[in-house]
This record gives sequence, structure tokens and C-alpha cells, in this order.
Amino acid sequence: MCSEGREGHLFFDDGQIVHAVAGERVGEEAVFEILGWTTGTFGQSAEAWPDEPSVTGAWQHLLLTAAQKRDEAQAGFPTVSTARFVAVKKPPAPALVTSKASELVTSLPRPSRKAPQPETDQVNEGAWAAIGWLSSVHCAARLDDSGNVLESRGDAQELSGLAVYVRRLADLMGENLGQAGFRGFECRSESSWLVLFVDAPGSYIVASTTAPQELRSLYRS
Amino acid sequence: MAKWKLKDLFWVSSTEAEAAPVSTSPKIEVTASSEAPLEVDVELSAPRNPQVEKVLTMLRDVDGVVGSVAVTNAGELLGSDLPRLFEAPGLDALALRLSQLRAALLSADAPMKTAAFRYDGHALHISQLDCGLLGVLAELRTHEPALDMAARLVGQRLEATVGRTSVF
Repeated sequence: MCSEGREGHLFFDDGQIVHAVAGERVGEEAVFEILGWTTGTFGQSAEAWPDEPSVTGAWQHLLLTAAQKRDEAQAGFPTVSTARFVAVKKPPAPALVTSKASELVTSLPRPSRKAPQPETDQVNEGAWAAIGWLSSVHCAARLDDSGNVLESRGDAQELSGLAVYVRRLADLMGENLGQAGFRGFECRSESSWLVLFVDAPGSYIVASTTAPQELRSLYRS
Repeated sequence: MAKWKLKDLFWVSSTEAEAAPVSTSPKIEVTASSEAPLEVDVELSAPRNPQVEKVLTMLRDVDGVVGSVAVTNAGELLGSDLPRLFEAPGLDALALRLSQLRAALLSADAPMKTAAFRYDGHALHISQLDCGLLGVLAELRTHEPALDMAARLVGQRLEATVGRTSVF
């Protein structure tokens, strides 16, 4: 990307930004630098693919942080909604770039490599077993992403139905807020807590408990 | 070569905000580079309350807080203090879903006092107020007791601002 004589490179792998360079800045600082540019041009880059990713955060997180930085830097930032936004269409083909940015053009070398796995892909095999030892847990269930109960403890039928709905709302509200990688949900009511957390790819655990802190160690890093 | 204006994606300058007419039936402008804008009719929520939005800004005093929304128990957006990135009909959908969450928990005999959804980078903290629901988007590193305290204070101000009877 070029803007007012400046040049930056963003590297994407499987929809995620994995590397960024802008002048002497590398990684997330370079991403924020580039996102701070207000006008410019873009094309494909011929920069060599990095040996190691310099950006590990999800793009939603980067975008949010950039927006927050921008807000904080703007004194008197307006809060009145105008419900106006503009979507810019992706160019139909690799664009030809002129003069200084000409080296940006050509196909991007993209060695095959595995994208970094999110933390929620780590299997927490001991979570369900640990719940069996907690006397504070009234009832609990382990479900797959289709809502099938894999295991249960106590009268967890109603709890399971609620969990499937809450799990779905978590994804939908995450989309509304640009958030990915749902980890868990906690709800405090009058006399107990409802705790729901992803224990492995494709499954999650829901539990009704009086001591949520005992469950937090199972899924909060 | 594609041309872009990033600010158009996420932010509106104060002069643009002042110039933009306030309408209950706004147009969403969609443009591709060098193409004429397309205008699409969209539904907008009930008019937002500037006083509510002013109260919500207090939450950003807590380190790590990105922004917040206030919604009625019926799912209408009272106001938001989120980056412009979220100034879209998505907020109306979010307000409705917060209300659905409250109703689901109520029907399961577990009425919500507070709740939190945790994602990879941020968490959405929700508080049940007398006048509706308060949602706060914050980084995971945010000091939760400090956030709880700020949310309580903001909740009290919201109730004083909105009034308990006007939102049920």
C-alpha cells in the first residue's frame, strides 16, 4: 500500500494478517501505521514471504485496536450516529502499479505452511473430568457444536437447551462486534452461576455452579 | 490502481457528521472505486439519546474499555459509545440479541444480574439495570473489579437519565 510517499506491506494467510512492514515498523505497529493512513493506493506485493509471522492477533482485534487508537487520538470525536459507511470493492485483477511502487506488483510467493492455531483449538481433556470432582457444580453437560449432548451430570436437559442457544448468540453477537474465537460465557444470577466454555474444537461444556472461580482455571488463560 | 479512503470505512469527521442530515430512514452509501455510489434503504433503530451516549463515555475511563451500548429490555438501542466501526445496523441486531439473551435466561429461571462473553481478544460484559441492559466491550486484560464499579456508577446515571418507566 502506498500513501503520500509512504509504503507498507500486509501479508495475509487464510484470511488473517500474519506479517506487516511499514518503513522501519514491523508487526502490529506496522499494521496500525498502515491503518492510520487515510488515502492511498494498493496492489499486490513482491516482498518475500516472512520466515516467521510478526502478527499473531486476529484481524478483528487489530481493527478494533486501530479504531480505538484513532478515537483516542481524535479530540472531540463525534458520537452522533449518521448510519453511513462505504464499502470499497476489491479490484478485479492484480493492478498495475506505477513508478515507485512498481516493485509491489507480481504474484505473491506464498509457501505452504500451517496457519497459527487459535488457543481454543487446544484440547482441554481434563476439563470434563475435573468438573466431576467439583461439589459446587449442580449439573453440567458437554455438547458438540451441533447441540448433541456428549456427556452430562445431574439434570442437565434444560441446561443443555439453554447452552445451545447461548452458544449461538455468542457467535452472532461476536459477529456484530467483530469478535472471533469464542472462549466462554459466565452469567451470575440470584443464587448461582451459569458457566459455558469451549473445551476442545467442536465441543463445549456448560455448568451450573455456585463457585465459578473453580471453573475459570479450566478455560481462562 | 485501486484508490481508497480508509476513513470512509471507519470514521466520519466532525464536519461530515454535522453536515449529514439526521433521518429516521437513512441511506447506506456503497461505492466501489470510481463508481457512482449506490444507495440502499435501511431500517434504523429508535432515535438515540445523546445524554445516554454522553454517560456511556465515562466507561472509557477504565483502561482497556473499547466502548459500550445501552439497550432497553425490549431490545431497542438507547445509545452507543463504540468506535465508528460499529456504527451500522449491526448494533441494532446486537441490542435485540442482548434482549433475547436476557429473556432466555429468565425463562430458564436464571435471571441475569451480570454476564460476560469472552472471545480471543475482547470480552462483552453485560449488566442488568432497572432501565435495561448495559453492554461493555473491553480487552481481556481489563481490570474487572474496576469495570464492575464503573458499570454500576454508569448504570445509576443511566437510570437517572432515562427514567425507569420510559423504557419498559
